[in-house]
Amino acid sequence: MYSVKSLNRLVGELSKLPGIGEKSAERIAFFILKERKENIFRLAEAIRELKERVKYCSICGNVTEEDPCKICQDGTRDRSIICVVEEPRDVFLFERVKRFKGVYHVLRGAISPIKGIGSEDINIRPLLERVKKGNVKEVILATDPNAEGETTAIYLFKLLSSLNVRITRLAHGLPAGGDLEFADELTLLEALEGRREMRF
Amino acid sequence: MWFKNLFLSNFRNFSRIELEFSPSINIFWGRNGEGKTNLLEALYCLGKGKSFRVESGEQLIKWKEENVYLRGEGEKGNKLFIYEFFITRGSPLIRKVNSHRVNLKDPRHWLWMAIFSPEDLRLISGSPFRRRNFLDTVLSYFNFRYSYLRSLYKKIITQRNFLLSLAKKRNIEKDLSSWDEQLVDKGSQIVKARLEGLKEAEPLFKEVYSRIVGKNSSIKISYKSSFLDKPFPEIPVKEIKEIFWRKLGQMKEKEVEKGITLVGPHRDDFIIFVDGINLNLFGSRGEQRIAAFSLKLSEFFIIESREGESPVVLLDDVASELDPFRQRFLLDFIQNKRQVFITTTQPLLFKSLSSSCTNFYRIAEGKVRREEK
Repeated sequence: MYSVKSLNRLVGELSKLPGIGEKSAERIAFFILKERKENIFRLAEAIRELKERVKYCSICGNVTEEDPCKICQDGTRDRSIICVVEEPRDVFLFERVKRFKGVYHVLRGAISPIKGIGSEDINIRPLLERVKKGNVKEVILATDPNAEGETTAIYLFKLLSSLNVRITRLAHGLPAGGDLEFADELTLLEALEGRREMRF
Repeated sequence: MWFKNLFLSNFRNFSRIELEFSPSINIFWGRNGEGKTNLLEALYCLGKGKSFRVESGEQLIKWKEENVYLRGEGEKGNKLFIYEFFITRGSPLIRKVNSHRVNLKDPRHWLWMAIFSPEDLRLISGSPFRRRNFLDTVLSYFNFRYSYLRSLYKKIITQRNFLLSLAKKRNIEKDLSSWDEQLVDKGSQIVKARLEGLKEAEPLFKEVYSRIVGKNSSIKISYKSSFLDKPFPEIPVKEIKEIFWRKLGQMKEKEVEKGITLVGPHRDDFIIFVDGINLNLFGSRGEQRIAAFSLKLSEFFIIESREGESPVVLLDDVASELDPFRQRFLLDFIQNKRQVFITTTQPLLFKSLSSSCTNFYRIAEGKVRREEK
């Protein structure tokens, strides 16, 4: 079979991306090959810049170019309410809803033994310190409503329940078994407004 | 409900088949290994979006081909629907109803099927896994929450087992307790739903079983739990949870040692008692088969009463496994106006069926030929 080494290499790299199979990877690779050089170099530069400039906020763990992130710096936000989410993506989703005025805490993962992720491996300790410092009235547990997200919420609940803070969990307006990233905005808003005390 | 016709391409051993069906009885006959069951499987895929034999769609694609296409017109609730099913190597399965893509698992879009295959006759004598699976499948049909709980529970078990297997290498105590909460919460709800489901099925099963054996016996379906001593349907979920917790605590050491979850509905079972005798253990082969057959018929009647309409019945080589008396019962059962598909190596068994509404199809060498009687 005819093959070109550098083309194969690019197809191989592209097909590692989420949602991209071998066929799509080939299509993109041939597009890149055909496209003008400066456009493609701009794309490459954008990827490089992203990896070089973006880091994690030292307070909330969200992705940011400056530390602390814009949300943590913003004086108009209510720092007594912390919304705990699994991924930076979830922050973008909540921000799009434009109703939440508190701050966030990004765990960057959920407890999943199979993936080798234990409670020590996600961004939990800084959250505990934030709450211990006081001035936090409420922690909203907004992890995904699936097995891993739910377990993470239970874990956090147990951890935080000894501290003097209100703990809430997103209501199940979300599709059963789904992930936050697949929810539409209205569903997410409903879930946010319908949050309740966590009980077990 | 019934299928008017079927078109298939590259399904199993068939390249291209086009068939028109009788609204009542359709008989596929031919030698073993000619693909009679494959035709039932094609209908099942079209109606319910999955096979009853294999998990992966790729196994349904004809050797050396890339994709399967199934299409059939079916009637449900006096409305005509066009069902389509697509399988492509390396891609997700697609099912369409009237040209709209639908969720494979959504029962609202199914053309209901009830399949009876020779393995089903081992439902009582076989492993608990078969019975659990049967129970879960039937409960999921009309209880969306149950099917959600069940899939969530499966994930919890997988994760928890994995965590337990790490116990010898590191301290898992803190993480384990969060998984325990979920195990007990979801597991208890599953047990409760099963207890209620069995209670509902018991009289139906009793009626069918008594009619087949031809006498009235005292019948009890009893749930065997891995942690409840005497499960009864009215037990509150709260109490199930308490007992679950206690047992889990007692078993912890053993679980850590074995690296698997030993308590919960995934270890449960049900037992059929006839006149006080445990049929699973002490029933004769014949009794076990009749009980299994009755269970499957109960499934059929449950679907019929909930949907208000009979599901399509698929009988895969079952007649030859029954004695003449039960065969008679089976024939009476299918003689009604519902649509039935039968595979057999002995078409003569069915010659007595009224001829006007029975179609015979001869299957040989990858071809299907409709026969005039």
